[in-house]
Amino acid sequence: MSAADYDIVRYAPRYKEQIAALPTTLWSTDPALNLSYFEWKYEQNPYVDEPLFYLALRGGRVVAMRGAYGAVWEAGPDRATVSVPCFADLLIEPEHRNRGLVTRIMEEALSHFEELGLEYAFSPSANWVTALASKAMGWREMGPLRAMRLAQPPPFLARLRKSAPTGQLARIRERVARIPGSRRTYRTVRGLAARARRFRPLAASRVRDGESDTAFSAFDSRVNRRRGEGGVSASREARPEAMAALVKEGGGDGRIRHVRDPAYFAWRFRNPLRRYRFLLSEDQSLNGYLVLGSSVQVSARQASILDWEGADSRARAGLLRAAIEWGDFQSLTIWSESLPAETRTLLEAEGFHLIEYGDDLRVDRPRILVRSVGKRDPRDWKLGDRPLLERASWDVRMAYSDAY
Amino acid sequence: MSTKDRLLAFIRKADVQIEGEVSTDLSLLKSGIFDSIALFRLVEWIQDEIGAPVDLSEVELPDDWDTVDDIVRFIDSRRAGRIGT
Repeated sequence: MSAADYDIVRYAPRYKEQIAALPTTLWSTDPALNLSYFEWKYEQNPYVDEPLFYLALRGGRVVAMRGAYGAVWEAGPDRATVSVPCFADLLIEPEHRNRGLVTRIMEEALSHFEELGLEYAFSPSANWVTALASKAMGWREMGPLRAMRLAQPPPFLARLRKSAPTGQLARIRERVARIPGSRRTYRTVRGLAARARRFRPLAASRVRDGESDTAFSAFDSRVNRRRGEGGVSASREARPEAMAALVKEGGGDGRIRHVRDPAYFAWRFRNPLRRYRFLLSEDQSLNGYLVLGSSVQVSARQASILDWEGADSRARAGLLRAAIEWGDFQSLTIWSESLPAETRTLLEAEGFHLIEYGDDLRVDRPRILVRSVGKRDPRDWKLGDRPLLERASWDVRMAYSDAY
Repeated sequence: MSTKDRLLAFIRKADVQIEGEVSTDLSLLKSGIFDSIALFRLVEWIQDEIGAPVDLSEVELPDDWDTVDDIVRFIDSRRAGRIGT
């Protein structure tokens, strides 16, 4: 089989059922859940009229796919808005890999983008394989992006730490570290475990079992007991109008960021493969919000701060403290690349530390890939007046990535 | 065995779809012949040849590594750079 044996086509509704059945390792094992994910991401997206989705067919059967969801960005002193869709969801059935399908699908997609008058495409959720394949096709990486994490030990280790005599754990750690190869073995096992968690197919039962065993179970029970404490409350639903109004009041500094209007907030956090909680700080009106997200397949208390705004530092600090105290998360992550120094200091004071990704190509790390639809010199890639490949041009948030 | 011969042998063994003989000016990356895992194996192979990791942000993959000739030129220049340092 060569690339010529495949038909590359744009999305049509007749392919929808096949698309839902394909990504069992990418989305979930449940076609019904995959269908609602596709509909949310590509059909209900407020910034496109029709799904930007591209397929490779072999004998009429879908064997590969790539999608791009609509996104509108603002940049520059006058906050000019520009439509730049984001590529996601690249999947090729194993027996059809390394036959040039990625290139052919992308050529079709970029040809469509050109017809639509689009200048750029982003890719904010590429794993290491997709990132490498994308770079081979002329994509550039804006980054690497830094992220911070607050990590708390699992309960058994916390108990051990409490009960062990002072210094005993440190002595055990020192002895283990002296064993040749122990650090490398630890890093390898940790990497494999992380990868296994990431690629574990999502059992449909985990979603259907309700919300009793989720990253937010501790959070929800604490919220119920402490509702309204310190002017911060929590909700399972976004407040699109109020959140958009707060973003608008805050203005912008001209850096590239996603437009966060009511339509965005009403759509973004309805992803059926994720759960979200919204911390809201209110006085007379909303003066801050913090969005927590977690995968529906994660039962451990692992979450991310996807978006975080506050009228002042007090409101932001109150929201962060509530997220940490109520969530009691084993792991709480945030993209810290664009945060002001004051906010990074606040995070450090709460125990967050920079994540070390190392230089292994196979590590999935935060990144935004960028490419021009036409053949333009990368040095001229700009949005507003901001160079797209410079980190300082961006105000990045985890919410921009469909991986969260 | 020269770098070019070793690379041609690596490509012949790789799980990629190439019809006929592998020519040294055949597009490997822009054509998409090497994508996903096969591309990663190629990166590993190049790093092994050079004897050092390659910072991919400094490489124009579609231009610097598209053909056998390109890759051999890249490896030779990196080796020369390492010898010179």
